[in-house]
Amino acid sequence: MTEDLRPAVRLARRRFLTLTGAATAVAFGTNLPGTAVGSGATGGLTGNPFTLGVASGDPLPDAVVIWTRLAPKPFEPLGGAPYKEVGVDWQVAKDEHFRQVVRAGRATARPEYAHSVHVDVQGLQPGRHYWYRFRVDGYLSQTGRTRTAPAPGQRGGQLTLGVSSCQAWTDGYYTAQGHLASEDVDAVVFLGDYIYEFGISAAGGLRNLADPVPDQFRTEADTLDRYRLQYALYKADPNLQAAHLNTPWITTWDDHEVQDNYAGLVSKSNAPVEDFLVRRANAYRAYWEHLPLRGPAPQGPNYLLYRRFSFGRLAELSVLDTRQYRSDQASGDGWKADSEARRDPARVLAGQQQTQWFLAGLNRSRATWNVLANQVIMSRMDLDPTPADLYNMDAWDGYEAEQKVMLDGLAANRHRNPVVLTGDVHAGYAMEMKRDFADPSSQTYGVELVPTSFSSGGNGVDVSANGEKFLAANPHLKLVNEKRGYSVLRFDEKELRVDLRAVPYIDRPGAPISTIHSFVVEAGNPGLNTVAGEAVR
Amino acid sequence: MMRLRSGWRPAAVLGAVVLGMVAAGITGPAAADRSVQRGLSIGTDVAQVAVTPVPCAKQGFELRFGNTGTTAVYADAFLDAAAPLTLSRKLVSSYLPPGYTLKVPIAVNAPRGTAKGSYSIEIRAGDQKLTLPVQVGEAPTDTTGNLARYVPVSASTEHLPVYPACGAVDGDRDSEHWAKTTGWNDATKGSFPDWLQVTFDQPQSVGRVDLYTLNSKQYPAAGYGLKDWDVQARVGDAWQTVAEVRGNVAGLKSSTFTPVTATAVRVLTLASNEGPTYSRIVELEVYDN
Repeated sequence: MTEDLRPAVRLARRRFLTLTGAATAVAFGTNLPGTAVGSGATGGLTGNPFTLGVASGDPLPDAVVIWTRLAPKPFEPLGGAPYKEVGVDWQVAKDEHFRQVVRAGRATARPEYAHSVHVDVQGLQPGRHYWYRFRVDGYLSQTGRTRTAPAPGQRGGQLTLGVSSCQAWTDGYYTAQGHLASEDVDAVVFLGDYIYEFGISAAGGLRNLADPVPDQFRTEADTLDRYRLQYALYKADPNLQAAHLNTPWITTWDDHEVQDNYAGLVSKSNAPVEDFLVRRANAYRAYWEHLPLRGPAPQGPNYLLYRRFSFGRLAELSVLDTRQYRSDQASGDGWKADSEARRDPARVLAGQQQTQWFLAGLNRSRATWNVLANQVIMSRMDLDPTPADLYNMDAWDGYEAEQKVMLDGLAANRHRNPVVLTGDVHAGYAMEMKRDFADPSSQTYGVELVPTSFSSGGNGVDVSANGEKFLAANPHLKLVNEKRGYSVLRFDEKELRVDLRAVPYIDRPGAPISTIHSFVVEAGNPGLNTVAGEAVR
Repeated sequence: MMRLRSGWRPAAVLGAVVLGMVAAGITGPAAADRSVQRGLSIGTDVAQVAVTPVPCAKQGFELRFGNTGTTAVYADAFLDAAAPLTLSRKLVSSYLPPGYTLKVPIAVNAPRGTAKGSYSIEIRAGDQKLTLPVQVGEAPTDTTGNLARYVPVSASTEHLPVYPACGAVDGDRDSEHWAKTTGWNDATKGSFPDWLQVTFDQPQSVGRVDLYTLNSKQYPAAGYGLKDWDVQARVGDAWQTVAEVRGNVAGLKSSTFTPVTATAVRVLTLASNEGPTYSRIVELEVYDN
């Protein structure tokens, strides 16, 4: 039914073919022929079930999680899969032709987990690529490539991370994800807002589609079936599939995986906690089902997402969850002046347990680079260029007491080269973290990098009016660029090189990628050194 | 060593943990067939649903999906209505703590031309079943000559749930009702153009379009209403611009033009008096002349 594809999908599909040599794209009305390699169906599947691609994630030196979901009709109830368990074969090999299969088995895809398959493949060798695939009912999945982390204690070498956040499907095409698929990175770090919960209009927002998005997407995601639909729409995008196909992802969530600016038990609409926790449970479950995370799956409204990864002695990556445990935003949320509520030591963002876990780990770390995958801006960020202050109540600034604990902890570990990666704001920022943010001559103890968003914010601009205000009010802010894209971080023993890469537009497919700015951070000498691009200050 | 097509080893898990198989602390279905799950309850807030067969009709019921057991479950309720009825959801899946009842609004619609009479919706969850009667009534007809009433409406984006496109063709021109689902606001702040479209069942002669933009006491048109837009008519397969409005500051702007036979009409919004923010239309009306 390829001729029925709308032009946008056809274009995107061509790009995906270019990138990977294999493709599955989804039109709303039809399903493309799959890559059937035989017959003899036993699972009751009515078509190619690998419409949402394959993925891998959470790499360890000896293990990695491989993922897929069976969804022959991804926008129909149950993804078009039968209301029963289905056996799925999987293989992991040392080569892309599967001549040296090192692990294989059969997993069970269950309707209570949206027929998702998560296999924690263990007993692998450190620091090398593996290829994986799934098979069910004669349908063969795309072949994914993944990579294990280096051996514990291994010195030297290089680590390359692709980093981004915020991919509102309705804000434009996933051109940036398509380009990231072509970068040779060891892992992708995603900082939250993988989906947005909002209902989607027939035209698909800025995608402005001629083929209408089906009616079942109009309502906001709240129940498990509806969150699953949202993930299905996002993951049907060929460029997002391509970005998952060649590299493992390490993900955390922010607010929109559940609801805009929710805080722990408090919903944006102040719904009864009993009801909001059911929604949170549905959202957390759907998140786990659609990402390559280790088990156990969330059972109910709580899920331990914060965790740590080691890349030999070169880098340690701590992944935070600053949504699940936080107190309600102060002063009714939004941008507000300083207040007692903002500084109330009883209010938390990460929560005491997580903060202590992070700082204890940082103290123990022997890695050259200590990287933090964080959601909302951690450094001070003042929106008011006059002597008055205006702070984001949803960011660390809105939780000043815990912000101080965190920043003091990072400063005390200046020699461990802290690097904070932050999402949320749909912009590329580079900041020097200062002992006193008001005093440019005070000591720098780390850097905070906001890699920009994949798509949220639409085409974007170089520097918006608010961006100018931030630059004027925050001398530690060295770069603002509000185009869509990602950052590539290359770590070695001596330095970290940061390339902020962006596309000029996403309201139509096919934009080229280019490097907007490059910085180098020297190990042992925190701070940003511009090596390419116009120095902002 | 294995070759591509010959080789999938027998069903054995080597050095792997297959996740999602253990549901600790949760009562899951013991068997593969989840249709026998017990301890669920299904109900509705009304005994019968009345349906008016026009687009944008707001009608339906509230599904009440409960867990009567003593342990938390994840459960599925399937909703089925024979064509031509349509449901906003055919499946409701949720985490259900013990004793908890989830309430989910379900919209029920029928296209124009649906025969008046009795229909039904089947709901099942686990071993529970429920049949909800539906009564489809007479379709209303417009007597004012406004061709935009009771036909499908669509928009580039909708700021849901408060500003749906349906609000711009609901017969309510009153700007004081703004933010009560009676007007359309797009969802892409700062981005123009946006568009709002009505599509006719058959070609219609169109010679006048009245656009009511936001113009309330709190939000006057000169400050918040639409400033610039094009009125376009779809003639055959092509969009023709039949009127251009520039510099509008009024709550109502009527555009008249030489009548064309069109299958759809849309307003392509270009600028707001507020600057780079939103397109806001309280009501869109289309006439022959």
